[in-house]
Amino acid sequence: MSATIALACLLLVGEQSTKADPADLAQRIDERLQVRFDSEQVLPAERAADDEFLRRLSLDLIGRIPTPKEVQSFLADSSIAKRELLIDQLLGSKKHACHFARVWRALLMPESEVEPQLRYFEPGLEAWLQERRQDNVGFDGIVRELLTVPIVGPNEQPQVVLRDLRRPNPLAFIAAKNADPAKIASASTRLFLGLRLECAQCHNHPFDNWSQEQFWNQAAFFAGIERRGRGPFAPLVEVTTRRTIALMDSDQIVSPAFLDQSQPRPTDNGPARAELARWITAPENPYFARAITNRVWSQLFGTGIVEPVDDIRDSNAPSHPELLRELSESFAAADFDVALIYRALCRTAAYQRTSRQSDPSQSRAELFAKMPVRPLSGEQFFDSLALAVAYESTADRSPGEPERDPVRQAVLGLFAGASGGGNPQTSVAQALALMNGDVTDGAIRPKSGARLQQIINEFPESSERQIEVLYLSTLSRLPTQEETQTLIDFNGLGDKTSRQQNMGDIFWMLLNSAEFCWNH
Amino acid sequence: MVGINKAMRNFGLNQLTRRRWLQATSGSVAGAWLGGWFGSLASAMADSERSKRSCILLWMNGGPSQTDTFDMKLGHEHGGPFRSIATRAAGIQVCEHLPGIAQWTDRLAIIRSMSTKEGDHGRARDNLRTGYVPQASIQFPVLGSLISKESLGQAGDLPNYVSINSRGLFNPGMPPAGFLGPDYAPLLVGQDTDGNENGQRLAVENLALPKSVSTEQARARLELLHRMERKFLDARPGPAADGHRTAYAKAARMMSHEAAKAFQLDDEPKESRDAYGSSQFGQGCLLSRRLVERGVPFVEVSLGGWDTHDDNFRQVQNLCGALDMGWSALMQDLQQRGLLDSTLVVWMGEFGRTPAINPRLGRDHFPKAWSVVLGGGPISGGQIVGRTSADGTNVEERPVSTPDLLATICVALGIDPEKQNMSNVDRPIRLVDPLASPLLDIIS
Repeated sequence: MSATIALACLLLVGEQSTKADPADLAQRIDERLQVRFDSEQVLPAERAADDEFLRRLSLDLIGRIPTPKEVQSFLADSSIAKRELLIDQLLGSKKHACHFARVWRALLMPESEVEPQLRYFEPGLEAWLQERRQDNVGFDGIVRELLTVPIVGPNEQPQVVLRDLRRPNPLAFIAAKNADPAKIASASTRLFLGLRLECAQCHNHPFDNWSQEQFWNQAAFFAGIERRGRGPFAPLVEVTTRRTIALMDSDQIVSPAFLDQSQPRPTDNGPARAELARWITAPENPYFARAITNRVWSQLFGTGIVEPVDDIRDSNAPSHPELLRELSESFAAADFDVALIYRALCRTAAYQRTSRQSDPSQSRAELFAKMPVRPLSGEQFFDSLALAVAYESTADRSPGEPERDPVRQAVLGLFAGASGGGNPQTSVAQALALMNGDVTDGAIRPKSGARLQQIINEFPESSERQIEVLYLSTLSRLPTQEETQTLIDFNGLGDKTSRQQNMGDIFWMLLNSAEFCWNH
Repeated sequence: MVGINKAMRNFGLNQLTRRRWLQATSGSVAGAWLGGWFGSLASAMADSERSKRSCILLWMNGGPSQTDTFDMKLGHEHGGPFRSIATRAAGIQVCEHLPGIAQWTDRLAIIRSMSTKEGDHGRARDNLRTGYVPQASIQFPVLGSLISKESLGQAGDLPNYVSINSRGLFNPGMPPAGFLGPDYAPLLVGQDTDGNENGQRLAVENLALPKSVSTEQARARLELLHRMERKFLDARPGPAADGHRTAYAKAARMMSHEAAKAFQLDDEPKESRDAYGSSQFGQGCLLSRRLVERGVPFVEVSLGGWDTHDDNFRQVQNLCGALDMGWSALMQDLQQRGLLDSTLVVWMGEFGRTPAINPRLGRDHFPKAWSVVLGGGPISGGQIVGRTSADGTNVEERPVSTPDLLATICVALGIDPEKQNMSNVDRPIRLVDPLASPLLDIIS
């Protein structure tokens, strides 16, 4: 670690008053981006209109599109600072904590997407994350608690990993990794340090500085953890005195050592992982702040300043090194207050640009000259779809079971793997589901579709108003004049019954459109 | 064009009017975009296409134990409790729990000297499935996508690459077709959202129109969609927009009667279904035959559960039950239909398992010396490639790398492994690393 960074961080930590103002930070971000625009002759896209901004911000901060009412009142609001106010309001909401919890649950426990029984851990892990976010616990605190979660109990009475489904449960992280020291270590270094060490698990990696031994040094911090029995629900014990681990397929035994080559100082009786947790989250550790800010950046901009976000290394340079450094330092100086980063990023001109490309120079994603189109996660899509069609789940929800709404499960399956990053990839299966699936088909019939029923009852004589509400419900905007005209013509064909069917087809078209299915 | 004529007769004036209105106001662009929706399969399935080769990949997710299947170490402490049995090919023995496949060894080449470097599931899977060591910046396409591209148009309205029971096989957030783009992405079949494998119907979900929707109505609203979202997509050019349009066009084409029929396993006679076994894997093998029969060049059927760190022997015996029945029925069926000579069948996972048995009666990850089986197609069967040491821990003869294996598969399919594709990092990348030396001596 460079001495200058360490010094800078120590100075910042000493003075709470240096906590950055989000507006200043936003301005500095835009200035840094502008330098590149100038040097690369990039013409950035124009500012997004209010409706585009509102939809994007809602998806990013609370995980769903806005309601028609929210759209209308935001559009009608004439105050100058309404965007900043909305950012603060959403960030302070319970819905944000809930969305934050889902996003990080998926990152901490990606295994549950593949192993269905791990879904029993989801509510508890989410509940824990949500509580911490609501209490505005610094990100360092969240990670420390996660990595030092107590595993107590003698051998005869090992630590139960899942007692009550909805009780906040950070142990899920360890249980989902099969209590395997190597898996816990590789997930932790990826997520919290932005480093891919697991490549060195079997052999020294030719492109990185990390050695095989260093990977196992990290695993050694978790060497004391053991599972009593098989499967993810098996209880755990921890032998805190065990501080060594054997390299895979080898007789070599290694001890815990930090990645900067320094040695941990064992404390009385405490598990070695507590020392790792402290080292990872120390304000002077440059990796931690950088990894988290870079990840939040990629969640909001589709591409990290370092991309892939968990592969920070010399041979994979950040697109804007100064910017990343400045942001990370501000994050550390603000006691890892993740809300500050959200607040600052959402206020930037960069975040508030339209996704409409007006110049070819905007096509380079790593320059952030326009908002890229981004995929919705399964949860974002389901919640948005449910809102658009006014879907009410009829599934039983017994408190001892995880969420089992069949429609939701189907949507999550279809969108598995999609997250904030990368391009949206419409799959044939997704297209088929939205074209022919039960949800769409139910929604677009006046008999079964709550939303359609509602608009037909409310505006029986005006297809123009019906179309307007459909647009507000799905695309979170009003139709353009041209769109209205085309669709009124389309709708006007045939008798009353076929006009209702036509309106259903218009709804079908909106639900299938890329504009509805993407974050943009 | 039978479908359309029939549709025209059946539908009322309103739908027709709506359709005419669309045509009148948007020109023929949408119509052209929909292309051969309904009825192009027959022409694409002309007999001349039949000469093309197909590949069925039986993917053993988790890494199957070579010591308990195709490279047994009888009498050694690593051997475990299973016995071996003689097979149709003289001198080749396999595990007693593979009696069906033992009858096909004269059409199989067993490679016992796979030697690879990745011991982590994700990285090994990427390595074996793409042929390259995973790198952060390059999105390597999987083998199915590569073959899919080389066999363009072979399968008419059916996709070129179908992946069956593949839940969890593809990395979250990483497109399987990599830099080749969504055109070459697999169609996934049998993805039950709860991840259950047994008793689920293998089907392409939502392939059929809802009952009350006529073909004409379906077509009209697709045209409406195409027309109304054009402006949005045009203003956001790139792979996402292209992929969105392609996915809808493909979905619409697959809905055609002929294409959809390929997936209806109910059409198979009962004895044919029973021969494959009732497992999801067995039924997947049956579906793979139906698809290959219709010209689909690459089908993979996945069988998971091979990550047997605990209780290896009981688990392997169970897995072998489903595997043996499905695989041997597939060989039999392909031969009966005259498809075995043109269909390469590959059995592989991401690595093997330690010859040493751990204290939990399990075997752990082992990329150093393991087995893969190639069969059918131009493979000259009854052969063993390579040899491992008596304790199974080392390859003693003809080590085979990942590129060697993938190049062999390409050559067996009549595809030049050195052909190049343009990648996402703006430099051409060969189908398989040119350092590969394919096992030409097992290809006739």
